[in-house]
Amino acid sequence: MKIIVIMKQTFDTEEKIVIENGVIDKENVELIINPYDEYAIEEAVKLKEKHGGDVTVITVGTDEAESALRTALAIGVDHAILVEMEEDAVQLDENGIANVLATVIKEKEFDLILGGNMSVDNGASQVGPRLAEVLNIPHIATITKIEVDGKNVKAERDAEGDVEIIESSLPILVTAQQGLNEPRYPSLPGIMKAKKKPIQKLSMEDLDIEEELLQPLSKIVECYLPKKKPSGRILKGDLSNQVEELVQLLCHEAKVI
Amino acid sequence: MKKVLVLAETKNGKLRNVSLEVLTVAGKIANGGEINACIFGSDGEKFREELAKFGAQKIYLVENAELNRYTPDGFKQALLKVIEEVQPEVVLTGHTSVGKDLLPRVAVRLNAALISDCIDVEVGEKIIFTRPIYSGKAFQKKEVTNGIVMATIRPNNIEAKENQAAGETFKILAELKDLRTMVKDIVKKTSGKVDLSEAKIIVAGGRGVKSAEGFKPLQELADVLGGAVGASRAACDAGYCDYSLQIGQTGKVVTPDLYIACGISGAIQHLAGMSSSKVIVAINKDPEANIFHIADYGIVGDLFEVVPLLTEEFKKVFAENQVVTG
Amino acid sequence: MTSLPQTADVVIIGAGLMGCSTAYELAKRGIKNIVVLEKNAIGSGATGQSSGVLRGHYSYPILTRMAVQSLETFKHAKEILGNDVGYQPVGYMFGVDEENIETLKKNVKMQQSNGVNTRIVSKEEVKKEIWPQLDTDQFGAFAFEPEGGYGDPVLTNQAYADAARALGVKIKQYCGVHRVITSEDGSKVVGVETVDGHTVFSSCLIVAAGIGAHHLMKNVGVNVPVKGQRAQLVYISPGTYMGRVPSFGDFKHDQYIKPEVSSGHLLLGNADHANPQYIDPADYDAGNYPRHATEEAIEKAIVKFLSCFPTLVQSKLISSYSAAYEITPDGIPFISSTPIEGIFLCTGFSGHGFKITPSVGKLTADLVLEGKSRQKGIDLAPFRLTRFEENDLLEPEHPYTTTVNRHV
Repeated sequence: MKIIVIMKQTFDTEEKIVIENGVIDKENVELIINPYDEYAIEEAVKLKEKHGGDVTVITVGTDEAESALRTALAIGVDHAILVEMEEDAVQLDENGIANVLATVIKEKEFDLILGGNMSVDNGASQVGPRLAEVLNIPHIATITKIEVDGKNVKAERDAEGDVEIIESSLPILVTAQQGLNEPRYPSLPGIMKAKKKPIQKLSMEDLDIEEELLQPLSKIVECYLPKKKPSGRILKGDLSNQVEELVQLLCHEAKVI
Repeated sequence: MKKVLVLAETKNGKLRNVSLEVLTVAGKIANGGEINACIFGSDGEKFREELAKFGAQKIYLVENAELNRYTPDGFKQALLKVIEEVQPEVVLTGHTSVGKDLLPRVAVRLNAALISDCIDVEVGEKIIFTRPIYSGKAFQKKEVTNGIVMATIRPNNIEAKENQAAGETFKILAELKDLRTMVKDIVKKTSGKVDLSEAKIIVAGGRGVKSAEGFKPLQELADVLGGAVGASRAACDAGYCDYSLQIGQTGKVVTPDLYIACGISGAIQHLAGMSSSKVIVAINKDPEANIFHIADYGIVGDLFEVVPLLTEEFKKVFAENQVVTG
Repeated sequence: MTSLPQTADVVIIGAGLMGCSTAYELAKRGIKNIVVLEKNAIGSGATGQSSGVLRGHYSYPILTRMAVQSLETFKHAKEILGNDVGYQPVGYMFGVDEENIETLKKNVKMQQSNGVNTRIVSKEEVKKEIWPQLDTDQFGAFAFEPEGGYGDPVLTNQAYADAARALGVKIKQYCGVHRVITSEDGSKVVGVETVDGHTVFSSCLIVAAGIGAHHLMKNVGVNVPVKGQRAQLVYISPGTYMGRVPSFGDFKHDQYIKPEVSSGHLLLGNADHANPQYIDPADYDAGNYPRHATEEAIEKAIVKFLSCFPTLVQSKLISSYSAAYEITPDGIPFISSTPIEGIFLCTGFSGHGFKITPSVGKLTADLVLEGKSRQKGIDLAPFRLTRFEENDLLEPEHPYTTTVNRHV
């Protein structure tokens, strides 16, 4: 089976967000593989282990994304492609990214494309379904289980808590939800081997995409940080009153219940 | 003045509340223009009144039985057909498992931008959407610069407001072909053990829990809240619970909506794993415990007294709410 | 929450291990009204980043004696401090290359004569009894201390803080010190001013602020030569159950390994100080240094680990973190008076303070109360601030031919 994983490198989820001159500061930020894409990579490697074939991971980013690709290679991915963007290049929106990925993938043979169901930075959940549409293949999003038998695909999709049992066939694109698997840690020998595996680098010129397909259709007007949390409140009074008050606060003030 | 189209959704035979919220957003964007709604599946007619009450002037029904269950291919063809008919300037729906799945594909076909997961909209010369990024650690305002405007609206963020309109219905015939995915079955959510890294609510215990037995009341609270139990490193090292439950620098990093820290002092290594939680509640005997510095709400007291009381109180509140909304 | 008094008998800056153990010792000796000011939370500085290895293996007799004295507290923490400190006597093994066999033997002898339960163990014994997966062939010799192992620095810190509080010490967290106030002529300490503008008057100040000591003291005209050094730590899973294995100082590869009994994971720490990576004190203060190890550091650790344990091919990388320790030019701490009357230093532990914490608390209390050490065989002189200008540095009795001497 020929498997492609689309991956994004994101800020470490522990990073504090700093905004400078209206844009998110990317200096000195530690980067990781988007956690949902980690599930996709794990599933791809598992499917390869079961059915044979190979896994190619593709990302669009600056040269910093190389470390994310190396991690994927250490986990068991066979080939890695970096579509290299200049730091100060025009920011692609979801439409542009989907078109870039489609351009790379169209040149390749594939049965299955896996990705995360969203990125933890932008959180739009668009690139997967958009890519499927551009490639004119079906997709199943937010899957928590997938089985491939010949050309047949059976997946479980998390639909806001309900589980939809879905059948389809290859070629198809699926996006991973938490719970799909438990991503493995890279083995130490795997990390050392991954250092030596080649990473294919493509520039935007190499891809020769029509200008129009990359044109952003939307624009960020402003970025800002949420208001500072007011400092915490130690409840007072009789213990049972405190508990009652806490439940009311959680339900009506914090609205987390 | 804009012409807006809202895709309304149903679930379990009822109109989803988010669809009414989206209609309210549509009213704001239409700003005196036309609010259209469309609804798919064979019993769309049933929801005419409710949609009209929340502002739908015209309601487009696509009644094919294939649309009773969501599939990307079926809904895409139906929505494209309605869009072709209505020619809206703005298309909106909820940021739901349907909305976020469907609209990106439709956007590709219309060569349109899509602004996902919006929590607010400002309507002036331009339509500016606000959306959270980095899991709510920042926000961005975004506008569409080219072509039709499409957006998905996050549920439970904008209050639905009644705005009675005519709600005239129109049936649209759509030819649906090549449905490449089939929904074979839908299994309703069953309550089971919630995984720590997925949990929206986490009840975590530290050294103050004192024993493996001591985690029981925490588990009971977590069960009532549909959450999971976690632990600090000190609790794991002391053997009170499994290492897989450890939250912190060398354990899991979690970002639930609610984190209830019981008998956790708040060592910096533990905070590294949970300080991004949306709301933090601290229960600790020691009023000087570091955890109170980062908690939104704190109760100074013995967790073995507080936690069972809290469980009872939640049970009570949930039981009352059942009666109201039942 | 503790309110800040206007005066105190003793003010301690820093509620890390050293600040809290000193506060505890002073309170135990009857000093009332001790205030500890902590800019962040208890144990949030170098303490929280310590790997927690416990060993008596030093090449300096005085540090050996301090480790021996301290071990008693780790072993009996529950009785002494009232709380567990996570002491895990998994043992401590020290391995050297061929070139250092004789030095190791001399050091072990020195350590034994100072009360360390240690002995030379043969390669066969290591292979059979201690760590079967270790490729012992590439080592020259090993020493083993059955009572060594590790403890939990954060728990130890909290235990000291709790014990100190129980004796009436006030520990104020999230209360940074903006400056030290001295008398008009600069000869005596008067008190401290906190970041939020409060003043606490005191004629006795102990600076246990880690690298923060540098700028606090600079502002009153005293140069304290401490700076930050980056340490990179890598967590791995050996991929197989290894049973009980010891903490291991691998001084063939300049790496140390600490097992985690609860998870079975191993912590790999770099002990190669040939090319230290210093950190700007400003970044250190702001916590603006990377949280994780660099790819390069991870690779180095992996190469060293796999060289020692060539059969553990299933070993996996779990995570990594990056720490910043405060270091002095000779790797020996400052437990010292200063040119300013009433100001004492207790800082500069250079990444090896945890194992001597209990002893440091006692020693600092001696210094403050009596001006001299009451601890047998532990003189204060090697820790004085003026040792550099007097060109009188502590030397190891039997130095190893690696870069580790300053920490061993």
